Amino acid sequence: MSYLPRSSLLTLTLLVIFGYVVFEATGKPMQAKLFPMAVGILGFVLISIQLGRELWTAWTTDDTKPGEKINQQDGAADFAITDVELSRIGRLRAAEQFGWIAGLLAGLFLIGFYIAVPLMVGLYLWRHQERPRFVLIMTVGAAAVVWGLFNQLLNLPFPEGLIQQWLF
Amino acid sequence: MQRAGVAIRMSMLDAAWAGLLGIMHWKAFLLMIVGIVISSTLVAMPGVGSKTAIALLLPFAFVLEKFEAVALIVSIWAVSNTANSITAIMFSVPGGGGSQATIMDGYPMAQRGEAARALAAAFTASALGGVIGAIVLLAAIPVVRPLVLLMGAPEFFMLTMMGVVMVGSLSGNAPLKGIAVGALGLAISMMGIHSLSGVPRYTFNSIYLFDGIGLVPLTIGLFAIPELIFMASRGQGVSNVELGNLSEGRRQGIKDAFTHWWLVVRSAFVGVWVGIIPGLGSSVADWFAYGHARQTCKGASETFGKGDVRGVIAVDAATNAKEGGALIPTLAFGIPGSSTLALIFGGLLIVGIKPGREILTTQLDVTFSIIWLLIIASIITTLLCLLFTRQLAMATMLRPSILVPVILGMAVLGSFANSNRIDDVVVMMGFGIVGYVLRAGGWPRPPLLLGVVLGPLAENFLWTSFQVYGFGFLARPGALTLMVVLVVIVAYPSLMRRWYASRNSRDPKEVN
Repeated sequence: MSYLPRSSLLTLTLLVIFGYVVFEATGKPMQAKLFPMAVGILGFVLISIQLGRELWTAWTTDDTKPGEKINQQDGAADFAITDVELSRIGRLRAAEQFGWIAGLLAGLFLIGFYIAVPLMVGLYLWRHQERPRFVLIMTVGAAAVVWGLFNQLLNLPFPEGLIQQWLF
Repeated sequence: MQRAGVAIRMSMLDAAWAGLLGIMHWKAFLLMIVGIVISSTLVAMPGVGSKTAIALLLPFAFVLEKFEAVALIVSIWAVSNTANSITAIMFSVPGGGGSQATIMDGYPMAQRGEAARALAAAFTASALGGVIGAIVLLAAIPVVRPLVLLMGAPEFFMLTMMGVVMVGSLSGNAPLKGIAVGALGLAISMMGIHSLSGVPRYTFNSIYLFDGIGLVPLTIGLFAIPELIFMASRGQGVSNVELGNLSEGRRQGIKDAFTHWWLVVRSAFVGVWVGIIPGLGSSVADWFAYGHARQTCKGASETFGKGDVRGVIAVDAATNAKEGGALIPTLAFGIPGSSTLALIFGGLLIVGIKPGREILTTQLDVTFSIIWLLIIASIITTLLCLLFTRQLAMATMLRPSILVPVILGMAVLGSFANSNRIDDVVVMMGFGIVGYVLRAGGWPRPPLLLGVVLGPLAENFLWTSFQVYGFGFLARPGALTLMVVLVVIVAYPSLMRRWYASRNSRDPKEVN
């Protein structure tokens, strides 16, 4: 038994968010605060009840009895998490994906869309040991889609990367 | 009197025939096919919706004849919902507004190796929904006006709240979580400069946030990014189950749509009704239909969200039928129900067609040509999509090492396409983390999305109601009735569960 179960951290965060929604709305004119106040107060009350329920369940549940443990997925209208995803290797792989996403974002800022997106595609395939020819085809294909379809056909004005701006 | 009635019927028939002939002319028909192919290809990409496709082709309307322009513009719009479902089912990436709820059961079906069945069911339901929507449009034009005018701001406000609560209450044993996440979505929708007062709210002094959070990056982040991460952490593609006989899957999907014909009809009517109300539009019709199906289909609480084909059928029938409904206020009153319809409105004006009184009197043949287009374009698109179901379904067997970078690249480009700002990509990735945390923590994501979509509408209706009636707007008969419906929606699933539980405990034999 713990005083604040780890799963309740998210609930607590939401409670703080709704508290902030109400707090920031208080100084505004009526027109601008009516809806935030209504939503904020409603959300705060709902989340308080949810937090109370979670804490009550955690404090009254015996951790040693597996049947009494809280199921985080219980009742969620969303896809269920599988055991592999919850395993150590699953979490490590998830962490790697976050790394790729962060890397791509940094790449977009530094070297721009034209290079970052095809480069990410190529590096990802290379990291996962795809055949070199396939890696090359996919990288060139990604570059063609970014430039040909999105820039030339759909006229998306991709910004230059910071490095290009600095160099040229 | 009788003779006058016959004359009107004759002129209606003449106009219907003239409309059909107009779009069946080889040039108009060819332009319709061009519109279908371009629309189906572009809208299948996340972030690139029918609006982009129409905007791209609108300049061509200047050099086209009346029926040719109508064939090109309306076909792009009419078929966009059908192709939207492809990436939603296969990769949990919503192709655009309207395909978000398709993910709920379509994606689990694809994970189970039933992508062909899910796609075929979606395409068929979409065609049936499109046809029903067109028929309703035909029948509704003379009678719908008083119905829409009957509803005021308080009723519209309650209706928007009903949407959020309906999806929130679908959270199985934890409706509280669902409704709270819906409220979070409403709170996110408030970010930016308040349109009525000009006051910045929750912007943290960021210029980007003055415009609020874009729906496209939010949707892609919330649904696509977490699925990518989970797909990679599982170490397998969308499906690791043998796809089996794909032709059989396709046949089964088509059969499913016809077997559940009553669900198709009901969902189509839900779609039409949502479409009629200006502003609600595509991002809502799918959730309303999904909520309706989940609450009315037998055993839905156990199977929905886990790959029940009825969840796919209901959503796709509604999203395509909605277009017929959305055309009613556009054509009859000259009020475009969405920004895409505003573009179509502009396209019609380019070729000298004025929506409103004129299109229902002197240019009735154009109205009928639009109705015919909704039917013919829906059927042709479905046939084309069904032809490629096999190839599409096989994509779910690809390794994550191929799928992840491709989908991530598409997500980045799609988010940027929203408003040509790199900030949208940052927002998309931020909501990717939010989506991951919510999913991992067992909090439903759909209500958040619906809250964001309906927030601005709900706020406008709330303020108008408050200004006119004070808090007394809650006591108006229409608002009261909708409030009762809202309470029933929240209470019904939990009451039914308790009733079943008490019945099971009383007589287990009877239940088994």
